[in-house]
Amino acid sequence: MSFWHQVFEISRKDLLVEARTAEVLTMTAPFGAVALILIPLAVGTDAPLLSQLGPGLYWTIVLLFGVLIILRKSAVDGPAQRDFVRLLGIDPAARFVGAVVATATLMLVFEILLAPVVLALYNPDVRGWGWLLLILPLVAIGLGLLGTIAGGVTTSLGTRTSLTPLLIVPLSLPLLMGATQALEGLRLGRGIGNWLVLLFAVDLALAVSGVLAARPLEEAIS
Amino acid sequence: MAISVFERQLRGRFYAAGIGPDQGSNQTTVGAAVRSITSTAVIFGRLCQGREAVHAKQLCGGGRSTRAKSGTDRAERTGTTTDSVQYNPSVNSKQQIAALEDIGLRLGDTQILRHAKLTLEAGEKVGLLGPNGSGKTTLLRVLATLQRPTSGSGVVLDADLGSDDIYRVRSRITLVGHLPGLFAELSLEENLGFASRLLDRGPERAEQALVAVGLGGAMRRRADQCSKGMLRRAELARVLVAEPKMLLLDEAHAGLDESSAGLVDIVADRVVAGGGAVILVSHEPERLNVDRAIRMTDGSLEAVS
Repeated sequence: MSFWHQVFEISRKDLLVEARTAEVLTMTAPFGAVALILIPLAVGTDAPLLSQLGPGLYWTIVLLFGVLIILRKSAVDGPAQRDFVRLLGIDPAARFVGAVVATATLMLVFEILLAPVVLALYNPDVRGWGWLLLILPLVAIGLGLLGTIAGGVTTSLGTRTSLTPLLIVPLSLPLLMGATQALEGLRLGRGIGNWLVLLFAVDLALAVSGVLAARPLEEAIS
Repeated sequence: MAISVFERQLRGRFYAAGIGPDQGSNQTTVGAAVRSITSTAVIFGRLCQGREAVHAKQLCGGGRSTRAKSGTDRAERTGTTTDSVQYNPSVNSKQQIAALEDIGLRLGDTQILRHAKLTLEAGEKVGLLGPNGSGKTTLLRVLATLQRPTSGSGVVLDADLGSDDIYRVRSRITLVGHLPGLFAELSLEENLGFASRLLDRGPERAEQALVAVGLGGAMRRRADQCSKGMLRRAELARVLVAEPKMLLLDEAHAGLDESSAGLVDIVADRVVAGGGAVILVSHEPERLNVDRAIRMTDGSLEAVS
């Protein structure tokens, strides 16, 4: 079976599992929306301030609540399931890429579900909406890559639940900064090329690292 | 010929064991059970026919043991005849499946395996006995190439343990652990279909295997909605899908009642007839139908007379 066929099967399985539980739709997204509603209650109904804070808060919520999605996905595969998959002879790199595709898809859905909430509550002044078609997937892929690598590292160490957020959140700062500054650049009518390059470079670095580390990480799991 | 003989034997097994092909449904009448069992056997036969002729011969010979003694014993138990059973010449009983030499494994401060030695040849069914915590499961994981030993050397399906060759042979090994490896949120059919596609066994293989172990009516049920016994059967169906050269069954009879335990023998016999070898761990030695047994005590192996 080809590499990409293996990737397809892994991501299909992960997305099917998520479709059955619908956790992103029924729990994480509403929870994120509630967090976005609570912030105006805390800082007051200063419309210009909320409009300015909106994009930054959106990406912060995406990052923090995205960790829940990543943790949930990692929890699906217990030791017996990991053994089952390893003995199917799947290339660890294909398994990594498949997991990234599934996680990034879930993150993208989460981003899309939260976007109308931010628009409705914060009324951010964002121009060049078309660029979001590039920015949203780049951030989703970056978080998917980071989450899958962090999940692999912490699973091999046997400390998943406690260590994964601690690994993901600091390492996702370049993604958070790139996404926030890109939207700020669009609002001010500046060029956002540098920030897009940053997002792309982070994704590429994570992808290369993840593929190279896939086999050692898988073998480190005992 | 081989297929029809196997169908007959499978049918006999189900009759003798008193198990229907569909534990998930409520077929209670004798007529419905007979029809379902017959269709199970027919579908199983088709499963074999779907492969290349030579391969089918290997597979379908799996219902019969290559050893006269065990074949006769089982025929007496199940009421099937083995007159037409022929020795499958494709099985090379001298071919080495696995060899471990002075294997040791230490996890943290605990020495799990100590100088374990084991040779496993094609056509062998070996029982692995021992108390809880003696290292049986760890030994199976070492043999499955999932756990690297910390000392000693070993070869599994011509791949040296610790070398990159293990990735090449993994798809020819099936480990059925004491915990089900199926994904809880997926149906039995989806779980086995996932394995079947990744192993290039064809899309229909999963369904046929589930029917063969009596789960035809429950194949669309989620794994987390199945009983322990059904999950165990589904794991055995996974073996039928994978057609491994080395089958490692941990707590082989766990979750299976007396009437369903014959499935373990059927599945193990198929692996053996295909030129493979089987190791069965069980806490019920009287239910093991094996050629020889070894005992693990405190991480070391010794033959059981």
